[in-house]
Amino acid sequence: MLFVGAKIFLALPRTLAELGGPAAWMIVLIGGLTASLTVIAILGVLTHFPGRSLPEATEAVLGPVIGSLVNLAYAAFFYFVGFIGLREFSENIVAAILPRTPLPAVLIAFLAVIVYGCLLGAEAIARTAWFVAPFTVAGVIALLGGGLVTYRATNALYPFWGPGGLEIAGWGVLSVSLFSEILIVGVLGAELRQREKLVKAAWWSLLMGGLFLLGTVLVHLVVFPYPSSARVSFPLLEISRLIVTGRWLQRVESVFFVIWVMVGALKVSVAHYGCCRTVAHIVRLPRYQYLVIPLAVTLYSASLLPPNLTTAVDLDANILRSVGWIISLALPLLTWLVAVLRNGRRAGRAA
Amino acid sequence: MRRKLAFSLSLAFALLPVAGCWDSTSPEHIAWVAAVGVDKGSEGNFLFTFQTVLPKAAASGASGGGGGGSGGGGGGGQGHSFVVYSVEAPDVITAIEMSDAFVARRVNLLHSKALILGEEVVEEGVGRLIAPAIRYREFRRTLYVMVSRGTAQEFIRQAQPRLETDPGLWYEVMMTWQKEMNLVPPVRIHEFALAMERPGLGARAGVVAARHDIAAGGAETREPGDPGGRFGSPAAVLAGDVDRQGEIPVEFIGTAVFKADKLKGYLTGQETRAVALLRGELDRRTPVSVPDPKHPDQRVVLLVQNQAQPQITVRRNGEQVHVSFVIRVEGDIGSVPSVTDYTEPESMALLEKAVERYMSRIVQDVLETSLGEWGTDLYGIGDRLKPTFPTIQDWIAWDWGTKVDQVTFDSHLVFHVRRHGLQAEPAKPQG
Repeated sequence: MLFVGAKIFLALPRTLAELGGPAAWMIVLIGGLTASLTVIAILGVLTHFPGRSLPEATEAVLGPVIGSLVNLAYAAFFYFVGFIGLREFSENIVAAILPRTPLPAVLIAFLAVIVYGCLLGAEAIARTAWFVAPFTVAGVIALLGGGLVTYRATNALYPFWGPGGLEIAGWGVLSVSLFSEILIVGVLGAELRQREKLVKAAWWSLLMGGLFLLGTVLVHLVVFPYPSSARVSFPLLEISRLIVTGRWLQRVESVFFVIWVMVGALKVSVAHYGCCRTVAHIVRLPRYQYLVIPLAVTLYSASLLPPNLTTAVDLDANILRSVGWIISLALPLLTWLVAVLRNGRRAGRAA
Repeated sequence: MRRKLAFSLSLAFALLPVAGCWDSTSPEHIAWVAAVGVDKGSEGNFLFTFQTVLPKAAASGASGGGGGGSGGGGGGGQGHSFVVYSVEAPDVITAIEMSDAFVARRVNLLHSKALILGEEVVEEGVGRLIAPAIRYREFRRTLYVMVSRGTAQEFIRQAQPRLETDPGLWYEVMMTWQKEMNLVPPVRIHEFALAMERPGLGARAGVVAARHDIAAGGAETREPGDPGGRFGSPAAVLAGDVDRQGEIPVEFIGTAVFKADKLKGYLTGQETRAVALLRGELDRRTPVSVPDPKHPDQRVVLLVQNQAQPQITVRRNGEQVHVSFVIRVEGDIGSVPSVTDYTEPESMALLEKAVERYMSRIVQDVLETSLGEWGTDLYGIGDRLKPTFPTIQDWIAWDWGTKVDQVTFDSHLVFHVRRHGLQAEPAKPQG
């Protein structure tokens, strides 16, 4: 849930407002509904290979060569999510809280936590997420509620179809990539102690992550009515800076920062873990931990590649959120289809 | 176990500097600004005036400020709780940078409460001031925006609170009470910037003014027979014109109305309340003084508020827009100087009708001025029109901003007395 929903802390609500104006919320809704295909595809592949992870099942279905290439695409996806997330969260901290602190110092501090979490493994990350999630959910709900109490524009969600119904539907389907992070279910699924809960966990992650996104975009549109909604750099941060309910309750962004940093570190940890696990499987390493520090060093370097925050946000919006669906939706769907066809043939031969 | 403990500890220590190694600043090295004033400077620059708090003096109970000459300088001196100085610059960041030439501390806007705009600046347009300001992280969108009749510098120099030692707290308390009194709209820079960015929507700001006559120990008094402006209420004036003596030589009363980023005109305190009624913002029993229907030479004070949100019905027929306002108001009888018993049903009905007529006249006048004369939509009419357009392109192409002054409207105000205070019948002096 946090892995999917963490992007509400970044520039995403603004990017969606740029695309959909007052109807940006519809993009999230359509994207979320389309993303359910991703969950169906991943669960479909995993049910054919109980106890195996998505990379293992992919290789079993597609063979060692094509399977490894598809797994490499999965690893590249997690790597991309990791380094862009690392850069965006760090840039936001520099821009909003620590303006004189050099970016590398923030990146390294983040990486230290990420590496530590990844070395400890999925259970450590999951337990931390379990601890952080209630604070995050409560904090975000309080922030959104506080924002609405402070300011709300009348009829901010009109004109209803934003830039036009067809355009919204098109962006909505493409925005299935907003939920691409759900791919992590395929990697973590094999590590669940109670594997029968995988299906429930996958659907809950999508639903809760989607509600997080939808709620934030709706409140953003009401507190910063279009066109202002398309001009605010960090929407949730600005909402937190707006909240004033009297002399004694204001400047609540200090609480927000704590949640922000925890969720940012968790998101990148999960992405880095997913990348290391997948690469370890491709190169047949017995332990993924060997890759955690070397890949973290390259993650640091890659996160410094975008020359500025605008480029980093553009990479996220124009690459990850535009073509991410090819990796998160098309590849699992293809793998599932092949698995179904093969099983069908085997069943035919057996008969 | 030991390795894990060592790793955890080293991580914890590694994170410590991130909390503020580069960004650490001791509070004693910061000059906290309570209010920023902006006037027109020379050669396209602005003249920024900073009201900077002296925390120790404010905490020790000293009040008042030390002023500097235009262009820089200034000092607090003993017993002053703040310092006022001015500096010319093209934008606020450069003004802060230039302050470092003579202010020993780092000037910081994070705790600012008010942005005061001078009259010349708002007449020319504040877009090139507001747009960069909301980008700067130290400028919070919670700052109150006000327009000073005359210059902002004059206002800030005279804004030496008597009842508060901390000027930041003074601005905050002053504007908090305006939510009840509604003599000025407590508009923050967030609402101001949003209104500036959306077509047709009229940005508002409170009106403030310095009173040199009060500062000099005198007072301006009205001519006999002019008991307070157009509608005969003491609140029917603008800041700078209040009939009074003593206390701080500055005033807050009235609304500055903008179209896009330029000032269109001023509304008095009375009209400011009418706008609040039309927007459904009068919700805390605001005093309104109306002529006594049985004794027109005297005034009855009622504590009024919106009974419910006003019903604003918008009908669009092609280019033509008609708006109907239905405003339901309720109130308590606050003060009746005559011996009339307004708790009697007939008298109460008479009072209710008199209040309706009186307030309707102000409401109608405000609507004619703001919509017809200035072409500004202070009431969210445009927001109610948006659902009649399918797409954002259609709405933008329709160009609401150019059609506001062609709107036709009707208004209907209904008033009911709810309570009559702690006295039913009036006290009747006997001979």
